[in-house]
Amino acid sequence: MKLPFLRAKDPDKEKRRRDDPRRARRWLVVRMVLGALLVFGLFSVIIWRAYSLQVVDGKRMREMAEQQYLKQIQLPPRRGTIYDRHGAPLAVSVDVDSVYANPRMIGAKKAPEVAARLAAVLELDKWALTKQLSSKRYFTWVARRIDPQRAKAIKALKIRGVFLTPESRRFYPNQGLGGVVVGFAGLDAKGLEGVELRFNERLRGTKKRLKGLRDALGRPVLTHGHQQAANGGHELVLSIDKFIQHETEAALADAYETVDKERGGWVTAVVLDPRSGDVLAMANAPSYDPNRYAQFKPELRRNRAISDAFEPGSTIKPFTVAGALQLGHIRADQSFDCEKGRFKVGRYWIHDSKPHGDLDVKACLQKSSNICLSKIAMQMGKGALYKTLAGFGFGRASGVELPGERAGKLRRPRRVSDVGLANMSFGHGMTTTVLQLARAFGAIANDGVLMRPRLLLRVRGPLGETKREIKPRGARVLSSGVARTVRDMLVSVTQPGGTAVEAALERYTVAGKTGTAQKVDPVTGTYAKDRWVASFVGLAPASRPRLVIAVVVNEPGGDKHYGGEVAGPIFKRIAAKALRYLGVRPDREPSKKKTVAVTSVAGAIGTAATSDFDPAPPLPGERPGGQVLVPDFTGLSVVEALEAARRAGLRLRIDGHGQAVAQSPGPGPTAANTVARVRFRPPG
Amino acid sequence: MRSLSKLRQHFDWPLFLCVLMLSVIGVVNLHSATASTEMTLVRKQLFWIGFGLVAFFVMALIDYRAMARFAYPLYGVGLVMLALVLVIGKSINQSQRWLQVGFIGLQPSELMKVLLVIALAKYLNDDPVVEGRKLKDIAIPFLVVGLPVGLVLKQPDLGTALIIFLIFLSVMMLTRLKLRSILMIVAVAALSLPLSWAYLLKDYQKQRIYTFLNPAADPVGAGWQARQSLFAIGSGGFSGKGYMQGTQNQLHFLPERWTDFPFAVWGEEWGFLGSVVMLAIYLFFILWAVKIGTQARDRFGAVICVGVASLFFWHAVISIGMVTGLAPVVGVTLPLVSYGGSSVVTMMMAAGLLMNVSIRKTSF
Repeated sequence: MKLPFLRAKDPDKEKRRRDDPRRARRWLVVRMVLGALLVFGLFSVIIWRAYSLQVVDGKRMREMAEQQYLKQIQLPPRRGTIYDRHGAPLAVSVDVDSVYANPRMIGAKKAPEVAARLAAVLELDKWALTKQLSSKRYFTWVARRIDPQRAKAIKALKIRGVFLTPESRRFYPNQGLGGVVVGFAGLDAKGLEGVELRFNERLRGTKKRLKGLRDALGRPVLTHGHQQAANGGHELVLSIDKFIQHETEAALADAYETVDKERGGWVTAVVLDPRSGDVLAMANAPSYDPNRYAQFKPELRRNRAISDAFEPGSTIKPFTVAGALQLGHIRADQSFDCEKGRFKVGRYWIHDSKPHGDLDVKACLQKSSNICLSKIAMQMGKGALYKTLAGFGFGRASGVELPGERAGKLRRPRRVSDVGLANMSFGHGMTTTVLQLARAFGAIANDGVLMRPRLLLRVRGPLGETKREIKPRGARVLSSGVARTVRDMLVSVTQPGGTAVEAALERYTVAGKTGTAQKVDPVTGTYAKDRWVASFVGLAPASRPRLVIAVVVNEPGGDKHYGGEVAGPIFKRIAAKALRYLGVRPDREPSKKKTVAVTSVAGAIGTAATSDFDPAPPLPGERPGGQVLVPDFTGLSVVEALEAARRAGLRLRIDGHGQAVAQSPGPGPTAANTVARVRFRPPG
Repeated sequence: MRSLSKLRQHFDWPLFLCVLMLSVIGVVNLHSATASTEMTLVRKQLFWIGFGLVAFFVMALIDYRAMARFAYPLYGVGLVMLALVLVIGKSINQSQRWLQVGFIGLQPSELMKVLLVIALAKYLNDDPVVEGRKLKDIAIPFLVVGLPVGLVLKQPDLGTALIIFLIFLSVMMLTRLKLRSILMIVAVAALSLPLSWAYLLKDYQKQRIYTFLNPAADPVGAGWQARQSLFAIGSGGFSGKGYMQGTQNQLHFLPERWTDFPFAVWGEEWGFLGSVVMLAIYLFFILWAVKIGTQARDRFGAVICVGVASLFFWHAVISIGMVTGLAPVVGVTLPLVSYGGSSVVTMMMAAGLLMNVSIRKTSF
């Protein structure tokens, strides 16, 4: 092949040119320059590249690199325990295992087999899991918060790329006792209802985001375990009394069986200590188990005692009377004409359930006469009645430490007509929550001082040290004389001739007031003839009140619908158990007739069983000499240990999870208020 | 004995210091790269460096003119070993590159690079064509280089084959080629590219080239290595993250970080400054090798120097280029820095050859 333009024209000249040594040397120089250019050129390109990567783009590259290995590891601090007033846990956090996988380590080929093995143990859908495990991700949750047996089984499988990690799980002992108050926390330890929601920040503790390093397999590295103590959540001590709460829930659960379920009936009750405003119990029926909150309809999680405002009816009457007495509009010995059951106010008729003639104030309350109360209210005037009811806290949220509290409705005086004034005097044309009602009644029980409901007693730090003590707060709304007068009057309500003889206790005097309100028919907008809200709010013992209990039954079933006959017995049951439990001294001799009757039935069992009073069981944790007995925790589960500690009156610090392996102090007597440390290790 | 005294008198310190510095950098870097996993590699590498230094001095002491006599037989041995690898070789990562000799895994393709340089030097020394070489004049060199390249490609080891061919081209720059011959080579190369793409390259090799052309296509799959090494180097910034602090390295994001990607580890932990320092050492070494070559007293020595210089040059440039995303991912080691016995010993032998030429350049 000859290329014409390369063809030499003169062979001789060409040869001479080729052999010229100077020319050869020149060629060598050219080649060397070319080589040097190549070397320097390529090195320059590399240096330039390194410069642009490291210096120009350095920051961006660093960020991109960090995205891979810096995983915001949120060390969820141990969520604080919620205790009842005596230290029984109402909500605890327990470390349980969660299963996660690194699909990259498993590989798509082995994924079906691994998925099948995992699915068999965890009862998961095999196909969904296969899909999950064949992905190209580095991390995926397989199952979270599994029980210890399954965790053990997973561990035994020893599958490459499948890991266990401890996670904190919220556990509500005793099937979620007090659930409506405590509420619940969701999967990521986030409070969703009740105290868990209201104090979420405190319970969760200082949310500490740690930057953790993640290696190429997606495993977090350089993180040093759980730092529970250091940044754990605060502990809360509630005013709830586990025993009373339990009795209240049990009583409501039984009562719920009698309501009209088809109409959405429900029962709710609040138990207060009138002296401090402490909420000893608050319950609904039907209710739910916060351990399985997702399985319940949202309406069951509703804390009706604070979130449902209802028309209270006659239970308001004592406050009207108390206000009138306090402001001097009436005298306690005054009498009123009850107009034989019919009384016209403006264009409207006001009725009593039974016709009465002249009644004194006490009888007005005992017989629950609407007409008398209307007359008292008309003497007071709109402003005074409003001031009275507002003073008792109606129409305003009580400020209890719970989310979702309703304020209820109380009309301002200028928006109240004459008949409206009359209606308001006996609790119509206004709404209130059960808690508000109990609280207001607490003022009558507490010699005239209205307490703010106290649910939270104490906040403790993660190490058990007290961070905050919540003091009772109250304001006087009645003189103690008026409070006592009204209280004495209300005792008659539960005595023969009153509307709530069913609420009377054997050994304690009970002062209370019934309420029977017709419900407004949602369709017609008028009062329905057969739909009721029956209520009873009472205090006991009347001489030195220790408890205020408000019970509301919505849509009572069967043919009973009066507050006394429907809500009264519920009050009685709760009050009897609670007073006995609290060791309250009886203020009343048992009535002969009842004791005889019961003795004749119960025979040798004796009167003790029928009596409201037994020597109270020692309160948990209180032993003579301020000593408690530390049990041997060895081998117990976390929940069992908590229970044992509660029985012994000890507080517990829990380390780890699984079974108890070590404790400090050891078994034996120790000073009360000791915090026992128990270390747990997973079995095996 | 004469060789020993020559070595003492004319010892080439700059050359030897370069070798030592690169070796130390290699060990230091290897320690960081393996600290979290295979601690034993550092000890192995130290052993190989020791062994390599012995090889360095052996190659420096035996007069290269004596070596010339055995150039072709040695080359033949290399070819036989390459052929043996294909038959009884050990395969790692789907390619047969290692010969198991006792407890040592030997990589004949590495050794072949040095043997080839010697063989080429011998040929060019014996056939001093002053005039421009025609195609038939370079047929033999082509054959000399074509046999090992073919055998290496068969393993398959694209990187080594490329290096061998580039060394050959570099050495041939020393000799005059007719323009017509150059055009011919270019034409053949251009023609063979699509052919080799279609018939020679394995799928994974094609994949690497695709990945090089479009790294973002599959960042967690084929592009993973390239991407991770870019992250590593880039995140090092100007002054680096500090020794043993390279997260990409320590957390195992970097693949092959002690064989083919040591520069990424280095760049991450020592930053742009470290990169420049390492590049400067290589550049100095290469220029020094060329300088020795220009002072060599014969053609054989000069060709050896240029061959060794190009060996280091292409290794360094391709290895770093690959790590910085300038070249596709082909497994090429960083001379004296990468972990690996065969590589270290080969580079030490090559450097020893330079020393050999250097101490004999002035004396007659």
